[in-house]
Amino acid sequence: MSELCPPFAPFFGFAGVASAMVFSTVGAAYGTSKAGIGITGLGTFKPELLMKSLIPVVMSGIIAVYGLVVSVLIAGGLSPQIEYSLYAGFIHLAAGLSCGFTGLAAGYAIGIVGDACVRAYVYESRIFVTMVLILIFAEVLGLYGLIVALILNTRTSGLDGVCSL
Amino acid sequence: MSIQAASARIAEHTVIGGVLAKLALFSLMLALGPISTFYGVKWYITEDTNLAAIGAIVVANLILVAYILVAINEDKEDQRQLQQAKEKLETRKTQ
Repeated sequence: MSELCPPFAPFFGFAGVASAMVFSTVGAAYGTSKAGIGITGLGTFKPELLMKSLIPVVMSGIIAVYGLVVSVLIAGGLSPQIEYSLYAGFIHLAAGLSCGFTGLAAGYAIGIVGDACVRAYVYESRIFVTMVLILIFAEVLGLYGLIVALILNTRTSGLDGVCSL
Repeated sequence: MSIQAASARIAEHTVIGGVLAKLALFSLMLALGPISTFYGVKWYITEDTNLAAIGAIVVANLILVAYILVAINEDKEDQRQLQQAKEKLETRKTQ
């Protein structure tokens, strides 16, 4: 094993896989639960508005899907047969962390905004468009992390033969 | 039909009329769609994983947009029925 490809390099790669899934799921869980509190409150007054008020929950699910896709993407590039440099390990760690923590932030925002907006939607129906707009902006935060993760992951493709340098 | 009956129908419709089926369908689509798109693009269209990931994300967002449209249309349908019931009551009053 050379200096550039130590045996502990895959640790960072797998840490990236795990952190992408774990942190974005924590964000999605917070978003689902916080919005769910408001939705059950709304459901006791106006059950006909339930389908529209479930939009924050669907958006939290999409944050978790972002984490899932990045995890699968990074894990696909890890294998015991290929030469895995420490540089590639750090790239994968950065990709996983960027997707994970932005997913956490996005899920947090979706939860709080979803809760407040569905509570207000009981009284004023024009809040719906505002709610969807704010939720889209909150979700795009997770999308930015995913874009950075994708761009980082492409940097591992040109690293063949680095272990024998 | 009367306003009370229309409102009761709307509330009933939330529980029975296939709303639960719609929600279950969307949950299933959100769970299976993106990951099957990822592997489908990877195995059958191109080996490039980034394109596969972008395809999966596009599919996930399309499912979200479809859900929002379905929710808005369902509400519009309910509002239209309620409006019809109100109008019938008005015409009956003026007669």
